Amino acid sequence: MRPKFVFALLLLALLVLGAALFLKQYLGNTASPPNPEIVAPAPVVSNVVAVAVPPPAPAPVAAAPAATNVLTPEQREAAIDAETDRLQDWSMNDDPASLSNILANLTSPEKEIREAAIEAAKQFDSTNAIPTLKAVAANTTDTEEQIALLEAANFLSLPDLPLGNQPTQTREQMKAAAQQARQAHQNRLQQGAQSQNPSSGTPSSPDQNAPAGPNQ
Amino acid sequence: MKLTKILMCALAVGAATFATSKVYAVPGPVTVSGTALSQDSKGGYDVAKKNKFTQKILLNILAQATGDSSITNKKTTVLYDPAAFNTKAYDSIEGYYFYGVFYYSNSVAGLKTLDGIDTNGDYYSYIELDYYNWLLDDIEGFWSGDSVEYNTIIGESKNKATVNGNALLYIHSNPYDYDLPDSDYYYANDWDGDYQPYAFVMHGPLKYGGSISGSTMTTTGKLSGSGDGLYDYNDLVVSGNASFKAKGPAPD
Repeated sequence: MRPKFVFALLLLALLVLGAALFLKQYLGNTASPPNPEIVAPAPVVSNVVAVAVPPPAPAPVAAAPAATNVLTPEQREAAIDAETDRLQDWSMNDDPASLSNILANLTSPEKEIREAAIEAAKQFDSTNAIPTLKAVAANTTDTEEQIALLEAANFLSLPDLPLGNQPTQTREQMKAAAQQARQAHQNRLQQGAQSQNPSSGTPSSPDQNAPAGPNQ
Repeated sequence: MKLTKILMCALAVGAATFATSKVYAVPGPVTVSGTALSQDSKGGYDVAKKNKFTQKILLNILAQATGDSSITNKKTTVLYDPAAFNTKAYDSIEGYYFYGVFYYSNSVAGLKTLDGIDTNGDYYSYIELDYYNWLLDDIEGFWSGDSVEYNTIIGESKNKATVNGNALLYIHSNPYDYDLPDSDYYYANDWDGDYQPYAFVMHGPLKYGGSISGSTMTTTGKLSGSGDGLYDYNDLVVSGNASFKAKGPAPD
């Protein structure tokens, strides 16, 4: 083989190699920019993400002001406080929008808000919250929070203690009852607790001592 | 100086200041919830009936006990200030010196205390928290070492301190059935023959926290417990929790 031919072949191979390297570098740059400062997402410290994903239920009112990582600790705490105050307010309402707002906060990135939302859901006292509480519990990795969510769901499944409406005694009657009981207590202390301990004898019957009321 | 000591000083200053200007004493909302077992019968057998209760029940009891229907007719908040010196108890019961004042607030009643002194000069109350407060280094409510525990475990971090102890919350419709510090009882049962329409007791662990963030001081508390109860004159066994959160300006 002639030296000229060999030289030309080597030159051609170098050109092909150079072209390949150039193309690789060019295409690599366009596919994934190497500058991490441009694309690194800011850490999420608020429920901005939760708001960005549309919920299946009627869209709740924006639960909390967007507290991003530009907030100072004081501002962040103020935002949490404001939201927990709103949760307390919603818990005293009786409308679907308030419940929706409460349930939206069950997935807040702030633990304090999530805890307040669980308590607010209990106070709102609607069985409509049970499926959401269970669903959020199923997706929670925090064991304590999972327990709190499931306990809240169980709590809401219980019947309410009915609102009582007993006739009010007069101040004098109540004062007399209290004084009499204090005297009985002092006597019992002096005589020795064992002699009147309910566990060692017959417990006093509520029916014997209760003032006459509608339920007696 | 440890944060606990700073908080103790701050809260003590706050408590002392309350007597004059109320600068640091800011009541915080109280919320209760829980379950109540009551006696029922089925098929000739005694059975336990379990119901839940929420803040609505507390408000209903307070409305009936105080005779103020606005408590249930309007949005009402029950508030507690652990740092407020209870001047009414101090003035009307000889030898009693403690902190902690409960209030309720709504658009009609404004802010009203849930204890007071009647026309005969006798102390009365509808709700009390009996607790030895290590952060305040003082007694709250009718605390007594004979009735409520004293030991406390402290946890500190950079910005806050938490104390873990025990406390007793007592809600009662007879305003004269308040607890006494020299005895280990309350009238949420009829052991001593007293039988009031409504009473709830929660006795158990209380996690109490204090923190200072910038110019703001926050105190929080969560009590989980159980105890006797009376409801419409019927016996209950109660289990539940109560929480509060108060926030105010931090001392300089």
